[in-house]
Amino acid sequence: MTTSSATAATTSAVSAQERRWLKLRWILLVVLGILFGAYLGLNAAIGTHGHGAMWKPFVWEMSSAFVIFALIPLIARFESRYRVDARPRSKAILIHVAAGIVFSSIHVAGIVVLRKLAYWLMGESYDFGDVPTQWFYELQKDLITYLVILVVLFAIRGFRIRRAGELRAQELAAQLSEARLRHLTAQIEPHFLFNSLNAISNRMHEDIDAADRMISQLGDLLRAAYESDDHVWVPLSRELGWLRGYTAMMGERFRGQLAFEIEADPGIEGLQVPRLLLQPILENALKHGLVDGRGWLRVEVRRDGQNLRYIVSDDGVGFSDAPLVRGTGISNIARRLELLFPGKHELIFSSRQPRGAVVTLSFPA
Amino acid sequence: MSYSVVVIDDEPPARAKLLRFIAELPDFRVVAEAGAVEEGIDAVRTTQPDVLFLDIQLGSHSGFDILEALRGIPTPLVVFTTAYSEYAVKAFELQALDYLLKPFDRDRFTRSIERTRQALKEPDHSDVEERVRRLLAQIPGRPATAQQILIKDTDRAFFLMVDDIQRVSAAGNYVEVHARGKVHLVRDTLTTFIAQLDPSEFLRVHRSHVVRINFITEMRPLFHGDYELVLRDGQTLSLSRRYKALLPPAIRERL
Repeated sequence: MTTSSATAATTSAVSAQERRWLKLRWILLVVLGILFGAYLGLNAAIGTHGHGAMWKPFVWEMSSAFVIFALIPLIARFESRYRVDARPRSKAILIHVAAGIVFSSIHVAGIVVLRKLAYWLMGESYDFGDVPTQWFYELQKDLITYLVILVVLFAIRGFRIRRAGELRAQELAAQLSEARLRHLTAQIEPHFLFNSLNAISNRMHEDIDAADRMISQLGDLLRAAYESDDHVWVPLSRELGWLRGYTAMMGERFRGQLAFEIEADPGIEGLQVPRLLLQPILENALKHGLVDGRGWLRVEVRRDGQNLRYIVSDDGVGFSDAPLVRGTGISNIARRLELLFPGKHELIFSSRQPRGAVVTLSFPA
Repeated sequence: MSYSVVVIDDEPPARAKLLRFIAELPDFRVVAEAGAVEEGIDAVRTTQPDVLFLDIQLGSHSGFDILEALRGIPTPLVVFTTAYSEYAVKAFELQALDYLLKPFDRDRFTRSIERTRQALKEPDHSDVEERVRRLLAQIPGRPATAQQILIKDTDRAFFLMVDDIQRVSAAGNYVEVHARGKVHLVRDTLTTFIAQLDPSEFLRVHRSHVVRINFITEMRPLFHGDYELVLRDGQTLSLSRRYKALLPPAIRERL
């Protein structure tokens, strides 16, 4: 039995690589902070107009920018845990005001240590001044800095989410158009078309009305194949309509050998479902399961709480005789399910006893 | 007297259609029908029909699998039926074998039956057998031919390298295998024996003779469009018109 869902192994492999990247980013940020501090220091040094030592403004500004930039990743991690846009809002504000005060305390402690060190190296001593006054002076500036950092983090996250959404939508469109192409080729596949025509040409001699029905079914299938709209979702009735036409044609071609049964719970045919999910499963069963064109195939569509469940079973060779066949058609549905319902779908292949196969697919609908 | 027919197709309506068309003919009768490879092989083995209508795509198998399994027994005249199979149709045309493309109508069926009647009147179908042998060699995925062949002489058994074989001829219930100037007698039919040989290296030039292409040196015209082939060892074999048509163009031009 195999299930298609994301595995824990791949997630941890990614985070090992991510950790390396985070470390590199931290170093980059610190270098950026020092450079930014140097720029501010230069400005301040020019502003002294030659009064006092020129190196002092550099020490003040660079120490301050260094500590702030070095803290940014910690703030980012903290914010991802306690989102600034979390509810209740009052709680989020309280948490971040408190965090801002902590941030300011670390910042002040950091700059004092760094400046004392720098002054000592230059043979002087650094005096922070009156602690409550100076601390309050730094606090009001730090809270603004903290707020700016939060806003930037929030904007970056929004941008990333939108970008990921666009990528997902793009991939979904690509997967769907691939499925549509497959769907189109399956019905205009020469063997299908010519053998259907041959079956009709025989049926004509036996039962004109039946031959007529076959022609209109073939017409429906061809029409569906030529349809050019690219809706991701269709009513279940349309998926089943296609399925009924296809199975009717196959049933005629293998009359007395191949039996189809399609059953849907009452009242669900109006539900919106992802387009063309059933077709690849059905084709897979006919191609790899019922190899001699003999046997039965049953499609059940069941309402299961919040989920819709497709069950496709047959009495063919099953998955035990042949290695689990997951052709490109099947991997296409697996990928589309993952894009549409990440972590909320199920695609299970299993064998029936004494023979045959069952494919179960469920997703929220 | 009517000709016996076996129909092999995995789709019942396709069989029904052929059966209905054939039932209208006074001189043909269907003796068996089959929908799968194993059934088909059994049907042909037990009924030994004159004509076989054979579908190319049989589920996940192929009609060629049936011909492969029937190698060595007298092959019926085969009319291939196919819905669509580009490579097979090309091969049929190349070997001038009869085929029907589905869906076909009564006119096309009748034309095919006319050709079959003509072919059935010929006393010797060995050239058709040869065409089928070459067809199978052209179909992708067919088993490779042998490198060496087990020969059971009167007093010993040994492997003969296929590269050493110069020609093979029918002689009653035996075949004579000419290899490096020696002749080995093998109890077999020519058809069965040459099934092991590569059709691009060995040519059937007569119902009783198969020759390695490189062993032919000359082709001399005789009367009535017949020819005589001269071999490297100086011996001559007659080449009938029907077999001359079977020679690949490159060989025909070279000689």
